[in-house]
Amino acid sequence: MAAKSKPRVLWIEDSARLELRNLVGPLFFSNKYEFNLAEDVTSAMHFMRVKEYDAVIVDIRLPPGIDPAWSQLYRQTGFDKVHAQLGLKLLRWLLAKDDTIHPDAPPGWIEPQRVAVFTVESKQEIQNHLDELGIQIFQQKSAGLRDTTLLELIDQILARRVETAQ
Amino acid sequence: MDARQLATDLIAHYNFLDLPIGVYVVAPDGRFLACNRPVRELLHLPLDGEVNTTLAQFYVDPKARAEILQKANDAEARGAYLEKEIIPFRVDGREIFVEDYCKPLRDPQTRDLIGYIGCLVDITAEHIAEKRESKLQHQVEELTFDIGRVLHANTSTLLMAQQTLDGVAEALSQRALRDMMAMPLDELDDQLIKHAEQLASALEKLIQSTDPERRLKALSEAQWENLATKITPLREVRDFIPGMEMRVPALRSTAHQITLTCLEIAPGILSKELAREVLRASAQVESSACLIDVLMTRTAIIQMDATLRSLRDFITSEVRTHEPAKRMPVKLLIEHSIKQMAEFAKSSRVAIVWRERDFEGAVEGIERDLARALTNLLHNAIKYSWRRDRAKAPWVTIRAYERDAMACIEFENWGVPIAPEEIEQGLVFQLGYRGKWSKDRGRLGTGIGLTDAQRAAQAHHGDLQVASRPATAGHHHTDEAEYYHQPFITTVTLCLPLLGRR
Repeated sequence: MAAKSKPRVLWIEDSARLELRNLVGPLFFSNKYEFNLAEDVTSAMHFMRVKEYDAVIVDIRLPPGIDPAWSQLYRQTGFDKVHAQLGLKLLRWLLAKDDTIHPDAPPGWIEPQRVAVFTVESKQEIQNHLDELGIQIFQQKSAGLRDTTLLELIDQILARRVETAQ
Repeated sequence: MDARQLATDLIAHYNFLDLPIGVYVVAPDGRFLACNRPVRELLHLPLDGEVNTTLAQFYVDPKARAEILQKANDAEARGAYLEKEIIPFRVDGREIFVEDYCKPLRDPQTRDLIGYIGCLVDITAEHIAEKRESKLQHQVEELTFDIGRVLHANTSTLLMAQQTLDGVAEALSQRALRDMMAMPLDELDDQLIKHAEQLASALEKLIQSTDPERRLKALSEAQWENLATKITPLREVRDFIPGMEMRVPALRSTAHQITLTCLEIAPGILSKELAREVLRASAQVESSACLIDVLMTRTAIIQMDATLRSLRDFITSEVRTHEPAKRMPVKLLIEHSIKQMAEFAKSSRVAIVWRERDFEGAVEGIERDLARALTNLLHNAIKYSWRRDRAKAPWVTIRAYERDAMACIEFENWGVPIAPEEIEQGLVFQLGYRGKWSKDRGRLGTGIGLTDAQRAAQAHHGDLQVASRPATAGHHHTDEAEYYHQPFITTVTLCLPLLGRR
């Protein structure tokens, strides 16, 4: 019998090597997931084109990477991650199929049940967007996060997907 | 002759009332004898006919009228007249500010005082704006002072933190900090990976050494399973966790968890020797990981300290005592900046290479400003350097030379690119601007360094030039996907007028 493949997880986060570096240890050492990290929107797009993920965790304040369309959006806000909120734009492109954001078609497999938002913004600040896009799992970044926060978010997404499937 | 007659003459012969500014003639006691429309509008007087009131009644402070007239008489004695005297008036309950340009009117024959003639200008808006500006200026000065104080306190705290980390690093490695600083982080990382492999082997031995039945008496099944899942990631940690920044904390926390689990092993069941080996190996991983973490944090602190010092200097430059310009050998300025950045360079493991040391040129200027400009440029060069190869530490090159009667001090580094448009559009010189490609690896920055250096250069009749090009020759397009992922050679040159040799 073929071994069951591990759930695939993509974390789109530019601070994973910095202030959030404590969160990836438990994930790697749990050895439960096939994990990829995208540190900008272009890399995220690339990962999602070549692979289908069971869980995608998205930050809101993201750099664009080298893709010209994302770079242009970023430039329009004066090279400012906080105002550009490229994570939200990425989600709009992925889930609302908004082709004004990026000319390419988003991957067909993506659905709100596979997505969680993990950001410094409070839930109230982006609640409308979450509702509109159908995203139910949200975690705010704050000081003193447990090392297992990321792991718990992934488990939440996977559990929700199982519930939805049933 | 009396003032009323004089006023009548002025009106009749000189179109006195048609002047496009508020003019008036009053008797010595302030009674209006004549005034034009702008004065009537200003003081809400009837627009036509006689005015049966006095100028004095509009003064907010009635006593001020006598003082103003005294000043007008004193000015007359000096052959001048009273001008730009700001007087608060109250008109229909509203306070306004007027400038009074006033002089006494005298009988031509007897020289007796017969009245006063003057102009009134409403400066209420300007006066309020000036007052507000002055108040804001005061607040800015207070704030600047406060910011300076807070930044000073922060740099003191950072220094304490750095000293603490120095001690921790020495305790963890049992080596002098100086020796550790000479060791590239890659080597420490290799060592950590070796320790992780040793821990994996020790764990494996512990698990395999006893039969399942005895094992379960020592720890629960879940605990054994938890330990077992860690073996492969520990053994293949370089593949499992790409990037030292993430690998280090992951190994540290895993080793710590293994230690805690092993401390729970029920006594007398497993081989003491093997359990001790796991504890020793996990302690080794934990301390190696902590050491790397401490050294990386120390580097970040030193970088932050340099940034804060430069920020404090920049913010408080306007409120410091003015320093006179003086003649300075370029060599001395370079030496100063190298000295300032030595610790930062050492902790960043970047070597500073100073070429053309025999340049003997001198420049004239404010030492503090020029020293800060050069220090900022060297700080940037170090901060934005990439490692070239495993065998050699990255380096920045400083050169000094003469060009077109200017003393040029050039800083060259190999690493983070600056895009052509950022230079052409002057973006890199804008206050607060952070380079498009400068934010990788969490580099700190305020976007002040180049702005401040350019201002200092220009204030000394010099200039600052920036150039950035791919480090390797070949065919490049700016739209190539990986174009800005390759290293660039960036050269920043501060040029100042060269003084004649003495």
